Amino acid sequence: MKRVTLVGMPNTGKSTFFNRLTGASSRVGNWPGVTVDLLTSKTILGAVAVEVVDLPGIYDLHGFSDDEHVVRSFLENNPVDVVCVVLNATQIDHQLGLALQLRRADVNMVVLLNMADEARQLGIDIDIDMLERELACPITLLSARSGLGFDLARQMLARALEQQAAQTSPLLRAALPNDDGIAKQAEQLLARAVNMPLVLERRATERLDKVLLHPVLGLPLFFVAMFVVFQAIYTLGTPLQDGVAWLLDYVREIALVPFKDVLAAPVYGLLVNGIFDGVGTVASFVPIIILFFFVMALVEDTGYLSRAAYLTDALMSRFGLDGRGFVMMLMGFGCNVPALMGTRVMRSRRLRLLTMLIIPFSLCSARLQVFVFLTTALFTPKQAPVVLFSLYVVSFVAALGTAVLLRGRLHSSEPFVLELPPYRLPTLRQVLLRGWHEVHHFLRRATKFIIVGVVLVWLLTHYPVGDPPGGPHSFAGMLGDFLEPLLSPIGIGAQMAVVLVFGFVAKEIVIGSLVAMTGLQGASLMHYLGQNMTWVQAFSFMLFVLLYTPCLSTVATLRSESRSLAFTSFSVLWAFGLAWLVSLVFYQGARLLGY
Amino acid sequence: MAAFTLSSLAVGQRAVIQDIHADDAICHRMRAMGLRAGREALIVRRSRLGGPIQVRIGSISLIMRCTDAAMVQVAPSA
Repeated sequence: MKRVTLVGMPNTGKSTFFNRLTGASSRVGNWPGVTVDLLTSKTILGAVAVEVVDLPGIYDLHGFSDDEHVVRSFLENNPVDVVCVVLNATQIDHQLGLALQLRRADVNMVVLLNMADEARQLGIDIDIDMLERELACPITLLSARSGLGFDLARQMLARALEQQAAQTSPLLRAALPNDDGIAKQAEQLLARAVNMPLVLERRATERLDKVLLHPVLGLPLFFVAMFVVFQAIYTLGTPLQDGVAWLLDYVREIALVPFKDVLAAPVYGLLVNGIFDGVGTVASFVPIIILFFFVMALVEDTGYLSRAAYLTDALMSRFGLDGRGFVMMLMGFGCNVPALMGTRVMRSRRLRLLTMLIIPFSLCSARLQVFVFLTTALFTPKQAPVVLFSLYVVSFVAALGTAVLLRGRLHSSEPFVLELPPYRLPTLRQVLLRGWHEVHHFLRRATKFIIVGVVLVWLLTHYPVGDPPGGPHSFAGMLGDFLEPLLSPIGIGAQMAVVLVFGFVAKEIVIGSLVAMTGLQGASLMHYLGQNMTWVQAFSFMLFVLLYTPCLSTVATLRSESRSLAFTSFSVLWAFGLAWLVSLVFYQGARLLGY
Repeated sequence: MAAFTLSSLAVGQRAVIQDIHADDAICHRMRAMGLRAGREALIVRRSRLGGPIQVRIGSISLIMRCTDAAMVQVAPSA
């Protein structure tokens, strides 16, 4: 099969072109460098089957960043028939150098000048014939968003594919002349082939920025925007999640419960309470992830994410983070999983890992359910909001404190220089594709891990004696007894320790596991808790629940996004350690004070 | 004439980039993003509390931290 690779700078619409060419669901962002994995897709060009590979956006073939290494080593090690260079025509003064570098590398290439419609509106005039002669390759104008010029681009690629056999480009870096030479050549070529107005009029963008980046109004507007986004996700998401839960219940009743008497009890338990409920846990995340990425695609594709980084960077740089990390941390207050996936916009691995370490401390909506239940049970209606607020404060302090403590080890040496793209209206197609792609990604990578975890907890709570689940004679109960010396200093008894084991799977099942273990519900369960716990114990328990591992899905996502078991283990252990320490200080402190 | 840096410019001021005082990797990265010697940079806005500045160079707009902008040496535009 022949192979075409797409090469271009971030923000050129390369991924949009990839989507159009292959119909696959690649991610698209109006933000430098969102493409992380090498997206590959197969298509037919002319009469031949072609594999299209979308390489990460790079500024320079010669550079030292992670992405530049990826692109170079790909071209050095994989035979490629055609290198398709996508340039942003509105920034041709900055981008021509990349095409010239590839020309020197002597690859079989095709150049697409994307965003041609925008360039025309801005009054940029490009002499295609002269560029074709100088670069010795076919060039065409394109608007990947609207599809203008797309058929021509396809034909051009098909013709280029007929030309020669695939080649690798060994020692790419050594083959490149020095940068100054390329820069000089680019300038000479620009002077002859491109006519650019001295002042580019981006009036709409400038006007919007005057308001959205306003020194006083900018930050409040950012918080309003975040609040709206948040509300939108959860007002739409909660009914959708309920719908998924209803659907799963329905399937369970119709397709699984009839087998209760047919199958042996352990087999039925494993299948239904273990695996099916595990799948249910995963499925309940799907609506939130879809919505989150619909909204993220909107925020990114419009170009607002870079603005958010500009607005919050002054604060975040003090914690070794950047403004985008703050956006993700806020998103984590809804659900940690998509927030962790969203850190992919960060190009520096260290910065990204640091951000991924702090996101699990964001008090997500699942933990909020637990806290609302417990505060209602143990505090007066007047105290409850104060208690909840204090938990939010602890959440922020734990996240930022972690960043301060670990920023030295995960210090990013990359300069904070980001492109501020003009505002653009995202197309519906891109937004939908993005949501679908992310869910696909999550399901593919997390499902196995989560099911294994759920089955494990099911076995722990149901064997050797599983009545009630997690009772004193189950493995989980024994684990609770075993952990007693560790947890009694923080005021958590054996029964609540078992709840923590359940909570490791998902915080959504914490209250449910209490119901199962005590046989009590609602008000009577609240009464029972009030009888069996002091408020100091309850607050200590909530601190622990807030800080220790949020859920299996988060752990699975940490692993799949970092691709490092060591990092994931560290994150989990760090959270456990911090949870224990904070609860210990609180519980023992409160006891010393006589509570 | 005293040398000055991109970070010291006021909003609306223009200057020509002369040199970047940083190690190779950072230099390279900044050059790749358009901060090349000989190009004219315009300070579009500065955020408060020592936050980033917005710089326009030719057709692109960049945001950068003041500490990074301080590595870019500039001279007054002709």
